[in-house]
Amino acid sequence: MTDQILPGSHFDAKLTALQNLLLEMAGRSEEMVRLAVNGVVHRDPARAGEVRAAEDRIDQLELQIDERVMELLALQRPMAGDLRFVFVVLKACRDIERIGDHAVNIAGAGERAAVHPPLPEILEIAEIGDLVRRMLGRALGALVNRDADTARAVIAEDKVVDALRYSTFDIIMSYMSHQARYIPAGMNMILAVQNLERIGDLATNIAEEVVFLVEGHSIKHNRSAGHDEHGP
Amino acid sequence: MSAPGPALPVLSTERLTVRFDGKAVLKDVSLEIPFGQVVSIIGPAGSGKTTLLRSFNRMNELMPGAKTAGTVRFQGVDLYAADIDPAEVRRRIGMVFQKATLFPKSVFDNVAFGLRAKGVEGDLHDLVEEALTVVGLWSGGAEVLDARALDLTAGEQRRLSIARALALKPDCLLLDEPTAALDPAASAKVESIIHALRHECTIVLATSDHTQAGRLSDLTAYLDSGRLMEYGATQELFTNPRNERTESYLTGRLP
Repeated sequence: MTDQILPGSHFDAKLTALQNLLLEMAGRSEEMVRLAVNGVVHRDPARAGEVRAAEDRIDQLELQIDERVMELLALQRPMAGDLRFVFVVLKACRDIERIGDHAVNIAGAGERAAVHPPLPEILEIAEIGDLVRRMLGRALGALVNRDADTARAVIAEDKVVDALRYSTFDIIMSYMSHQARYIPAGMNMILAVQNLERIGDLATNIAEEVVFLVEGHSIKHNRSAGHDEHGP
Repeated sequence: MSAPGPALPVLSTERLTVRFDGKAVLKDVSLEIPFGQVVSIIGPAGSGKTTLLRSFNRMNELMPGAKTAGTVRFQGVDLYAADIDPAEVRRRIGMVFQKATLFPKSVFDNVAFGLRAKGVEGDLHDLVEEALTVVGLWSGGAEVLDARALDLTAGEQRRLSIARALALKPDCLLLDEPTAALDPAASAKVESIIHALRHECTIVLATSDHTQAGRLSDLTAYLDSGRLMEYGATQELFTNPRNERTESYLTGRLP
């Protein structure tokens, strides 16, 4: 198939530029998640400000992508693999913007937790953070390389995120049930983990879109990777 | 020829090969066109779109040096059988050419010509007005009927050509580049006519504008160098073509 974006034509240059905007957006949202998780793990409320500041650029990039997609659809009328690509970029852009929102939520939870007595170190939070960031990066890499196998591997990883979420909840709940002073920070830790789990879901969505891009059929709601239903 | 039913393909070809002076322009084309569908034939210039269209009503045989092999069926009947009258074929399967072939006569005479040739006698006004109504040229005034066909705009001439074909109540309508050289407004009118006719008769159109095929047709066939590369539901073919050549054509990347 000629799915790869070929260099040369004016249209190809526009598709490449669109892809680059999406990659910049994904890179910035991934950095937001890293900062937010750092803020939670290291009880550093200053990170929250950095995360919120980064959100503006994400919003700008989303608007730019919207405009370029509209222009491409109206003026270039992409077809076949090109049409699927533009469609996938638009959907992935929404997912990445929401990842940014979740990063802000995590940063806020870290900010609030930092003013309360700390829980003992919970390594799993950093682990989930690393995992969902890696999922996002691999999903975007799969998009660039039109790699359905890697996309399917990302989808499978969401089960690991789900399992980690529940085990982390158990740990936090056990601290909270033993000592009431852990409850305020613990509640915010639970919120942070819940948001990380949603980021995993959104990275999974992007990976599913990549499979659609490469293979031309949707695997959403009927996937063989055995992925659980997304949480609220 | 019996009335078409939904189960039987109204038109079909089997290993259809058409040569002009020995050179194959269509090669082994086999496809079925279901009743009541709009089918587009797309492909690069010289891919055989018009030749395939003309095969459906035996127009190719009017061209010198043309030879047809394989089978073309209409409602299951071999159109090229010795006992088939080509004139009857062309009445049942009407064709509108890329260039409007109007006579330097009135609008009425242009539409009535085919009816008279068919042997319809008496007052033809009702039939002519009905056909003109379908294509949006009839406003109820006699001045339209008396207008010189060649004084109409290009878009109106194209619609008049369609009216002339429709007056014969064809079972199928073949349209060759139905909106070529028309401005967007005139093209939109012709396309809306095609869309409205979809339940009246089976429509096959050859078009170089693949976006038009996307807008209008239920099924699309992609021809390339005389070969049928892909044929299927328009939405599937335009969003997820199975053939590399189809993909390259649709995305403007044919070498």
